[in-house]
Amino acid sequence: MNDGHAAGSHGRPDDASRDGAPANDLGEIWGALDALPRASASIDMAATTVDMAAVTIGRSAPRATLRMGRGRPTSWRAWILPTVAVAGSLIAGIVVGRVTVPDPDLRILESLPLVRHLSLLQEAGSVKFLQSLSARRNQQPLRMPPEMLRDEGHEFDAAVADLEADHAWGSVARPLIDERRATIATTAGDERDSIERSAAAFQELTAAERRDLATVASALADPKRDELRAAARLWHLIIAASDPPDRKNIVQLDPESRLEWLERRSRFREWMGERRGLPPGIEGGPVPPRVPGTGGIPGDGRPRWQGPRSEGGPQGPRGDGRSRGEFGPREGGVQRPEGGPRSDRVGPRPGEQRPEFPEDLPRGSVTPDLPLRETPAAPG
Amino acid sequence: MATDSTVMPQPVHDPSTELMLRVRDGDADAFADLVVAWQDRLVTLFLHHTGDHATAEDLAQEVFLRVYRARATYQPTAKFTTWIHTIANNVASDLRQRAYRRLERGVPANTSASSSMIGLDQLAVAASGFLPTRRADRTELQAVVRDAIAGLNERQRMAVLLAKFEQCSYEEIATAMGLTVPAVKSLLFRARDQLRIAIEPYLEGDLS
Repeated sequence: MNDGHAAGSHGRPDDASRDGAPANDLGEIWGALDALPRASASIDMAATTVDMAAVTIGRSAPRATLRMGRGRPTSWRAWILPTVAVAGSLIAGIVVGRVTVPDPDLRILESLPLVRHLSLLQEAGSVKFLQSLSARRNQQPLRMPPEMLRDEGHEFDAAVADLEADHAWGSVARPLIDERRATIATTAGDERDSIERSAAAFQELTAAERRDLATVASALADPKRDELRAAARLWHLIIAASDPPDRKNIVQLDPESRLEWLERRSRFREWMGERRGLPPGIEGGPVPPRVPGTGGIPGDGRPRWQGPRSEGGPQGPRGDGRSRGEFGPREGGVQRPEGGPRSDRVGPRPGEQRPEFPEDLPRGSVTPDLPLRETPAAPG
Repeated sequence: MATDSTVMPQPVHDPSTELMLRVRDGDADAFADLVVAWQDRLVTLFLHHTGDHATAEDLAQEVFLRVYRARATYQPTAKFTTWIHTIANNVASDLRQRAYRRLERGVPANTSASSSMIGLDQLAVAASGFLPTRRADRTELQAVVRDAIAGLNERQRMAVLLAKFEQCSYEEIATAMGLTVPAVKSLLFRARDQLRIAIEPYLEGDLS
């Protein structure tokens, strides 16, 4: 047997161990057993084990002394000393038990601010991403009702204020733990349900993922890192403005893929701004990249952005029988009279003033607090 | 010197054995190093033996405490791995005699597996639309294999886990479990048949 976990017995690697007799006897089942995961001990297991071993010595030493006591113990010693020893052992056991028994609640309470704002922190992703986003220009949420934008912004600001007010996580002092425990105990209703859901999700995270969350939370809680807060706020609004079914997909993207998605989105918006008014039904944003096989909404009538703009309009097949760059009404569709009402029209009517688009904004800065531009009113 | 080596048992030298020798000599740091080196292996072994992560950690701790208590008797004539596997098997046997029966009554073995693992399974299934099919299959396979392992009897399970996760030979398994080599072969043979019955329908095609 080898000491290395990855290496097999007597230094043989895992695959080579198939040559060994047990592997042969298990036959084809041997490979299937690879599906069983390797487990990891909890972080504090080694420390508590060493402590327990130390306690074992501490308890055994006095007993040895008692056994080697001088002469015959007096009658009261005959029962009082064992009683004291038993009581001491019980107390030690209780103390050791409290220290060593895994307390899932404790971990949650130590990281309560992270748990409370888990979705926001997961949405922010990583400091690296926020820095990259902060360095980008002209990012803006898609148009959404002003009150929604305000609400989302306030929600984000409140979460950041909360993180700033309580930014103790990881190793937290006992009084704060007790305070948080009391707070949770008095929390009820939806908020408690939400915390419980977040706590369950938090428990599932790996240690590395928790560390990443803590890093992001520390960055957001730091009032000196305004640029990261602004980037996170902007990203929150972008996510909020995206299609609900797409949000989870977007949040799950790694930083590079997120930036790539933003780049596509920017180019789409640029294209949309320039082409505005041409085709009907262009409103909406680019869909996040979809993993093949995940479905989507085929034939929902929404044009998908197919690539950078070039002569003739968007590239790529439209899937509706029309050629590239052709925006005329679908074959067999309703033929509107020239100049008639078009409820799905995006651009202004001829003669109307075009609304400003983010491409008009000054470059080189993140613009999370831009005033909302309302969707141009549908004519008619 | 050469004559001595043929007569006297060869002291075994591997990192764990050397750590254990230091533990025997009263080096507390060596014990901590030993725990760190072995804790994941033992937790893995006990996790798949009992199906419960917390129980697995408790049992692994019990193994370390027994190692520590018996440190003075340790002789490097046998590999440390053989010694600790023997202790691990004894701890598992004790559990069976004491509390494991109650645990099994209270919670079915396959559902008493680590709650975090089950949660991850569910998450993976929920998000399977975004994952390659192979990964979803692997999650299912993991559950099937876990259930199949749980369906083995205690000794079969320990023999399989020692063989798979600790890459023990027949002789090493036999020493750890206090059995003969033919008995171990028989255990593994029957375990294979039982596992195959449970897993083969799922892996139809893969196994053939």
